[in-house]
This record gives sequence, C-alpha cells and structure tokens, in this order.
Amino acid sequence: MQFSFTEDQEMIRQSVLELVARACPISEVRAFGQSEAAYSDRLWQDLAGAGFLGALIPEAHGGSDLGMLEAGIVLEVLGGALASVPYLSTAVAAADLIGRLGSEAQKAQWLPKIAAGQISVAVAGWPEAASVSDDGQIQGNWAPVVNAAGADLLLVVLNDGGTNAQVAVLENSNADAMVEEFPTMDSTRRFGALKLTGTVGERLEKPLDPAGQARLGAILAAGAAGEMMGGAACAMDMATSYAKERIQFGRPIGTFQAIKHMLADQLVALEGLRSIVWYALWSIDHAPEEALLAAITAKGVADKVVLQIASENIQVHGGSGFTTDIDAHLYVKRAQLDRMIWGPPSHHTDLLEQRLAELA
Amino acid sequence: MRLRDSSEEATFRAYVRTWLGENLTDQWRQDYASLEGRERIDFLRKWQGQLYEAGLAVRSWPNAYGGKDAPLTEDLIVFEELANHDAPPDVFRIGVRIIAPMLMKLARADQRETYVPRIADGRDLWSQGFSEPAFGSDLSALTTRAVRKGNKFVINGQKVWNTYGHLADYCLLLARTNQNAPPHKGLSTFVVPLTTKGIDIRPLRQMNGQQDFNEIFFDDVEIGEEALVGELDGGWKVAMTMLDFERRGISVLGFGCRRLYEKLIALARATRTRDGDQILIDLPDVRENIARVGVQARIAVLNNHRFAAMHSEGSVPGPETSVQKLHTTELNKTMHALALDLIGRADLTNPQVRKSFSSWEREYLTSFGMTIAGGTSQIQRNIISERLLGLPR
Repeated sequence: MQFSFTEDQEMIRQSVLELVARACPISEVRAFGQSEAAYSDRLWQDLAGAGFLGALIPEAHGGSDLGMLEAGIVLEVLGGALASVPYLSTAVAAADLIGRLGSEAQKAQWLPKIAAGQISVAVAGWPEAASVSDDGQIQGNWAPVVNAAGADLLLVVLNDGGTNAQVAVLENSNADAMVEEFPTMDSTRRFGALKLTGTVGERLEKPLDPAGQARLGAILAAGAAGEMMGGAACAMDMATSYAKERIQFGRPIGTFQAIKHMLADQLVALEGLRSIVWYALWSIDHAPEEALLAAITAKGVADKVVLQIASENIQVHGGSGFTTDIDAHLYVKRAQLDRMIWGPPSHHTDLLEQRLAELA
Repeated sequence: MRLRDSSEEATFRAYVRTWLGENLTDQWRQDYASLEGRERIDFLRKWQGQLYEAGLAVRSWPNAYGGKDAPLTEDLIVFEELANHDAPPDVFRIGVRIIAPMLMKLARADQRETYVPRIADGRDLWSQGFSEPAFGSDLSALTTRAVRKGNKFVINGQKVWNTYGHLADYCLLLARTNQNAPPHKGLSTFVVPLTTKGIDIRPLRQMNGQQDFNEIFFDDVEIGEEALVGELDGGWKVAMTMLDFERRGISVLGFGCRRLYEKLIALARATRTRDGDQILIDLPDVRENIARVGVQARIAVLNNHRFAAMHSEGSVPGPETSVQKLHTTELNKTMHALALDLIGRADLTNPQVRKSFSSWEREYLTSFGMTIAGGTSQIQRNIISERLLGLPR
C-alpha cells in the first residue's frame, strides 16, 4: 500500500489552488449569486487554459490525459472555493462517457470543445435512467439537475430494459427538451428541471454496458464526494479561525471545550472522509470492480459529514452565522443540495445494505 | 497512490498467513485458553519469541535491535493478519510498541542495548508507571517523588492502573525529581526492576472481570542513578514520546474493527429473532446498523494506511495519531454495543445464544478501557484541537 500523492499530483494541487484563488475569490462567488450567468465563465476559461478541463481527455483531442485522481484534486479545490462551474458533469462525467462510448466523429466533435471550455454539459439519468420507446423517443423527468439550466449539451442515460444502457446526446436547443430553472437557495450553482417528451436525439456510438454503468455511477458519486470534501475542509477552517478570534467571557471561544471538542470531532470525521473518498477516486481507474461500492460509500459518508461540518460552522459563528454577511450559509446550502443529487443518502444506504459482505 | 499490496508486500503477506496458519493452531488456542495469570503470560512469552524468530515481532525496527529494517507498511501487514487470525491479546505491546521505540530515540546506548532486544523477543515484560490515584488526565501534576541520595534515587509514592504490573519484569516510571520547577519541568523517567526492595504490587479487578491492572506502592525504593532515562527533569518529553507511540500502537485497533465487522455479520446471520421467525441479517434496521459501522471500520483501515504514509520510517508519530485513537476506540465500543443489541433480540433461553452473549458481554466491557487508556477520548479531543487545529489552551 502506498496511500499518498506523487510529487506531480501535489504540484497539480498547488497550481489548482493558485488558479482558483485568483479566478474564484469569495467576491466572485457572491457576484455569481447576483448574476444570471449559467456558470462562472472567467474560472471556466482559466481552468481550460491550464489544461484542467481536459483532465480525462486524450491529448489527440486536445486534452491533458491525466486521470481520476487529478480530476479529484480539481474537484476538491473547486468545492472548497464554492466554485460555480460544471466541472463534474462536463470535464469528468461527459468527457469520460464521450471518450469511452463516442464514435471517432462524436469524440472529434465534442471532446476538443470540452477541453477548450467552449461548452458545458449536464448529465441526467443516473441513478434513475430514462425510458425510451421502440422508435427511440425519450420520456422522462429529472430534478434537480445540476448545471442543467444554460447547459449547451445534455447527456441522458437511457434504459430500454436490456442489460446495456444507451447514452443520448441532446443539444439544449432541441425543441423537445425542456429545461426550466429549478430555484434553490444555493446561490453558488444553477439547477434545472429537465423534461423530455418524445425527444429522439443522437446516441453515443457504443452502449453503456454494466461495467460502464458502474463506472459512471462511481464517477458521479465519488466526484461529488470529492467536491463536498473540499467544502467541508473550508467550512471547518472557517469555524476554527473564528474560534481563535471571537472573544466572549474575556477569552477566545476556541478555549472552551464545547467548541474544541466539536471541532476535534469534525477533524476526525473529515480525515475519515478523506481516506474513503481518495480510495473511491483511486479505485475508479485502478480497481474498477470495487469502484461503485467504494464511491457510494464515500458519497454516503460525505452526505453526513459535510452537512454536519457546514451546520456546526453556523453554530460556531452564532448570530452572525445566521446572516448572509458572512459566508457560512453558502456551505450549508451547497451541502444540502449535494445530498440530494447523484443518488440521495437513502440510495447509498440501500446499495450498501445489499452488499454488506463486500464492505470490509 | 497504490491501494493494493505491491508484489513484495503480497509475498510477505502470504508468508505471514502461512506462518499464522501453521502456528496459531486450534491446539495452541486451547492451550492458551486453559491457562491463567503467570502461566498464561509465560505461554505468551514463548509466542512473542516465535513471532520474533519468524521475523514478525518487530519488523520495522533497525537490524541492530533485532528488526528487519522493513518499511512500516510491513508492520501494518503483520497487524492486519494478526487481527484477521484472531490472535491473542498482545500483552507485550507496552514494551514493544511504546517503551522500546522511546528507548531507541531517547535512552543511552547501554540502556538501549540492555533492554530493547529483550523486549523484542518476549524475554522481558514491561509495565508503565504513569497514572496516580489523584493524577490521571492531569498527569504532569503527579506527586510520586524520586529524590537524589548520592549516586542513587529514592522513590516514594503510588502508581495505579498499571497493566500487567503484577507479572512484569520492569516498570518505566515517571516521578517528580524537582519540586520547584513548573509541574511538567520537574519530572524524570526511570527504569525500575519490579523486584526491587520496597515495591508492593496489588492487583485490581477490572469491570470486565479480568485482573490485569495493579496499584504499585513505592516505599523508600532505591535505584541507581543509571536507571534515569533521558535527562534529569526531562521526563515529560519521554512520557509524551511514549504516549505518541502508544497512540500509534492503538491504530492497530482499526484492523480489529474490520475483523469485528465480519463477526457482526456472522452473528447476525447465525441468530434468529426471539420468535424464531426471522434471521437478524434479514431485518432492514440490522443491516443498516451493520453497514454504518462497517463503513467506519473500512475508514479505520484506510486511515491506518494513509496516516502511515504521512510520517517517515522511525519518526516519532505526531498528534495525528490522536485522530486514529479517538476514531477506532470509540468505534470499537459502538460495534460491541451493537453486538449486544443484536443478541438482545434473540432467544436468550437458548444455551448457544447465552454462550455467545457471555463472550460478547465480556468483550463489550473490555472496550471501555480503550477509550480511557493512553489518554481519554476527551484528552484526545484536546490534543486534536490544540495541536492539529491550533486552538488556544
């Protein structure tokens, strides 16, 4: 076993941290909340320029051909910065699906655009696939779909009852694809309600076989958990810093064990989350047979830990934590939505229970 | 990142498994179970010697002290396989995992050469003399005194909760040598042979029914000045180094938790509800509860590997071991409590169920000691918040 990052990976982390600090300061996050934009284009373009949108795209298609661990590093940093970019759906899930299932023409059409930051993609149909009629018409409703409002492209997983699934590629201008804004209090991202009524659209060339379905589920669950883990670490840092500064009863509140022990428990939970999330991200490329279980386990832990840490951050900040003057509320709102997408907590628990024996 | 055994690690693991299969036999377990007290300890001395001969007891130690200079990852493989094979409790852990690593860092050459090899192969059993009746968590305020008299020290005072003190050969004692310095700057550590005149050892019965604990009374006990470990009045550093190693040693418990998870599943599969209609493993709430602790057990194992990669070989482990200590000891308690909850749903008039209850009940009560020894869970939270998060004292 060697549970550590390579020097190259540490350098990538450093460079993503610098890029995100520059392009996505908290002022940018607040400004995004007031804007009508689909995502933060400035950050998106910087990520493209540095090669991070092509992390899972071969060099032949304009990518940087890194891997899931590197994509995970990007996701963790973006989550910590409350960044408003569709990285998981576009640069991770869509890039992986198109790269694996697309024809040469489809790859040539979409992958360079993803790598260059020219399009955004929303993914629907996991864990619940869409139904499709014999003549290829797609029917289905999904909400909330992260980044669906304003996405250029929609990837929808279709299940016709067979072993293999299909992946439909729909341009958002398609008349039968209806995307409505799904309003939430999470001002750091846009969500959509997607309704398909008889759309036919294009299919990726190859079917999504069971191994591919497991991989997609693993990517979405582990990727979301990676992003959530970044948010949890920043929320914990925020609470810790405040506990050192805030004076009550003549001393910093961080001297009180009620606060200390709460934060210590947060760190224990966060370290556990780190172990299980990196294991899940690693397994996607290196132990595919374990990846889905590892990923839903990680997402299940993230669902609990991230909301706990974000909520306690509000509590540590007291009265000001309940206002929008400080940013603690943003982490809670994001965590609450993250729990609802890519398989809600109950979904993960169900899957875990079915596979108890494999867990250890 | 490689979250699998390398081919060398896989070869080593296969060797450990084979060796344990051949040596940890049913006959061995029966013999072990039939013995008590000093006989059991002597039996385990032999076992420690066998582990040592097989190159498993102190694998990551330097060659000079009987180790194999192996990476920490090989120690982890040994711990993991011992847990998977339900090895007996490691009574030599205090010497092997706490005292010897400290001696190798901080003791004089003659002390290292005298004591460390004899700890490694089970010739000597060590006990730790830290806590006192009035000073447990508040260790630095302890009052047992060691007063210099010529080239000797004279010790007076009382220690308590000394595991294996009644059977051990040596005690690593923390005593006050300077009354005028601040509490933690007036302490020193000594090697005290437990056969020294003036020492009175009285066993204590623990809540799990066992008698590993002792009180040790020191009445004008004279030891030579060469018994001092580290610097005079520098005992706090020695004690803290030992506690850091102790917490790392406890991380082994993560592997135990995973083994416990397998046993919980086996228990839930083998147990029927009181009315006999259902098997526990088929009940949704049972599955959910088992899955929840199973995920935490997996985390404990992964933490072992991730934290091991954080510190270089042979370095003193840092406060991050408190994270593991807190996580695994609390989890261990939760898992045992869950086992009793499961058994509570079965027909306890059935002799088989009762037998299972007795053994789980004892293990459950044993788990209480782990969240206290080596610093209580509350002290671990203080360490984590102050040393890792930088919160003010």
